Amino acid sequence: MKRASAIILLVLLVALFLTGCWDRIDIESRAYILGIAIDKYPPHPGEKEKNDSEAASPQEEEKFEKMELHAGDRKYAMTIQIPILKKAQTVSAGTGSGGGGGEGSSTWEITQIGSSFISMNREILSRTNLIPYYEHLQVIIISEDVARQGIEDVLDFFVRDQEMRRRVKLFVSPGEAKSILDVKPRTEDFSAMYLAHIPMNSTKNSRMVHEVDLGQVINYIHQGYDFVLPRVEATKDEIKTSGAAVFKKHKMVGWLSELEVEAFKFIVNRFLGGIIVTEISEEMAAETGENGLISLEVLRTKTEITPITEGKNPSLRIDIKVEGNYAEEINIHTHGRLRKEFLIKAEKQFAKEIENLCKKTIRKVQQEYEADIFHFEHIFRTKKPAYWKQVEKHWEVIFPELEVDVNVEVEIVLTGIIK
Amino acid sequence: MKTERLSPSQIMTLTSAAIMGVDILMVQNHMVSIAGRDGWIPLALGGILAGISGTIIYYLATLYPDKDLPQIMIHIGGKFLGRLLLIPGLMYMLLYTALSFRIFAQVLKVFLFDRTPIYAIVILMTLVTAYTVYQGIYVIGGVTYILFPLGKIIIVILILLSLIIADPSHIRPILFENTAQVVKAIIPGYQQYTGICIIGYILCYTQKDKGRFKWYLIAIGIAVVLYVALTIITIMVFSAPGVLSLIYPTLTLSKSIQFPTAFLERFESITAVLWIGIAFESIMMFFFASVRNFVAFFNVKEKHQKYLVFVHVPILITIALSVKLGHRILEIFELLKSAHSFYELFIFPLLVVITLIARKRRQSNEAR
Repeated sequence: MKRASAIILLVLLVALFLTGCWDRIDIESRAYILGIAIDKYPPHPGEKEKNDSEAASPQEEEKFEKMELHAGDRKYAMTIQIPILKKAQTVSAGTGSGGGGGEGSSTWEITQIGSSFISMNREILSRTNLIPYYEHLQVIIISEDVARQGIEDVLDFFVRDQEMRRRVKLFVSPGEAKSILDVKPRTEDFSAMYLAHIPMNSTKNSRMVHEVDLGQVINYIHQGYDFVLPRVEATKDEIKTSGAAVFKKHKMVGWLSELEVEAFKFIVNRFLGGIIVTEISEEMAAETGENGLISLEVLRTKTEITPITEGKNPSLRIDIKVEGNYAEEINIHTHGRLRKEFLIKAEKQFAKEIENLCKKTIRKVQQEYEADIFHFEHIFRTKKPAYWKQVEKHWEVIFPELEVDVNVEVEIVLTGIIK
Repeated sequence: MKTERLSPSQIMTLTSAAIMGVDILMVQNHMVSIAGRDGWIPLALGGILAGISGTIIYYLATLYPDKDLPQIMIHIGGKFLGRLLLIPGLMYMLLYTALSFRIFAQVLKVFLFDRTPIYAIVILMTLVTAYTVYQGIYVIGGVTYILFPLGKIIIVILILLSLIIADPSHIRPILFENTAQVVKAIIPGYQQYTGICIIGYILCYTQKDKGRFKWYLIAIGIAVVLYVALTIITIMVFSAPGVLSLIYPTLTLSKSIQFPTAFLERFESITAVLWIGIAFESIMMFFFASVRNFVAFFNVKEKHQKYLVFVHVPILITIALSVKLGHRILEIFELLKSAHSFYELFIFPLLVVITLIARKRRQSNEAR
């Protein structure tokens, strides 16, 4: 009897301890934050769209969005996107009522204005019955105005907090960052998820910067390196990411165009795939009797950068090897005549196109932005450490004048299924 | 009378588990803070030193096959001097176990259970560990034998998956104008393997087999290879300045693994869960060693050892919960390890020398 009582007591105790959980939060009580937009304040983000909203008036909402501060000024407007899971998938595309998450919308965008991100995050708790949860955060969009002021302070909370993920993708928007979250994509319920998946197309499209996440940016900032972040723009129901924002240390200094991003990716050996189009040379035109365009579908690239310290001034040699398929011809008709000699000339023409693009981009970045986004500094630091020791302090002066020689070799592997 | 017998391969699991405890989360930060991007080199050299020091401890234990380390110390030093010699080791094992509980709870609170109070985690972990220690070395050996491969495999997977995002140029240039710092970091590198002394506590429970020493060296080798590989890969992923900014680089590393597709998105949850097992194995060994120290120090009978486990529970909980230093606890932890490493490096060789001299004298006296 005594033994049975002891066993029952033990079972009860085990049940008591093993079934309890201090950290239990019901799944429906969490606000799964998918995207964050960071704008400069003032002006107030989302003025335009609020006027035609059937929800609260702008004045009423602004009263909620401005929080009392312990210290500092209201510098930032942080907008978070929360999915309304009950409404997701049941709302047909295009029926959302726009930003702010009005009736019928599958998301709720809450804006908070303040001086520090953790306090804005906590202030949001006074406006929702849900608990913000950042482990599923997909994207952080920073407006150009904020980026030009510097992003080190902006990112501190997102790196420091253990709930944040270092794989969160960062974007820079030339206009209002909140407007990107307000987009109602045609094929997806949540604009943040939609945006997070676009860089996965970088194996086919080389004009967007991929693989730049929170962790990498923080690494660059810790190392004192310059870097680029993808640019993002939006209409009411479309988002486009192409081009890049150039950062010197942690402050944005300008933009790279779509083609310049292609060159950047060739130089830093991050070109996963894309299309290069070039005009045929005069020699080729004489052969075909026509002037036209030819396209190369890039399959593989390999870039090697060699620092050269012999001689008066330091320089770099960039060797880029490209493999691809002859993908298209416009206004040239080689049907049945695509000979080896023609392809060799095409390879040279593609190589010339890439070479010019790279040289032009390097020159622009050196002279206009003076930002070492290619991390040439890292090449000297790791491959010529003794030399780097001598020039380290003068790198800011050396970089804009650095001579860079670009050599490109292109090899055409296939020509599709026709000759 | 020691009836339980561990197999020689259990020497490997127990020693390796003891070495790789809570430290596995922050070993990289400590090494990089001294030797920068070359932090992995002194860790490897410290591993060789640990092999040498471990051999000495092993040899000392074989000289007294029926005694464990604290008993050997009292046997050689006598009742007073032996106990005096034992005091630093006794304090170290007790504090190391308590601080390990605290760090363990702190990490779990940060990464998994942010609302659970530290005392709940500490008390639960102490009770579970105490239960295993209460059951004795044979049960500890069995539990470790099951947990050991899981923990080590996850570290190997973590290292392999991190290769995808690693940039080897971050560890270059190797040894460039940094030799002095690397040399300075050898002893701190050695300190990361302080669990090697555990052999002194378990050898007397092991089957007498020629392969014992080989398994012991394999245990040290596993710890050295995994620590060095983990440090190299962490520097390759985050760069040296990046590692310096991270308090728990191993967990951050598991949070950083990236696949082009949405595969293995939450790898850190697997790492964190299996790390609980890794920490548990190590803390269990140190808890056991601390109990053995008390047994020898107070001359407690073997059959009453279990009561000392009960005595340990409130002491360990009190120490673990009374530390209110947050992340400064990691500094104290390192300080504790460095104090003990000097103890290991000087006291144990001295004991070997004393034993050999005494035996030689005895032999010559007997010959006369």
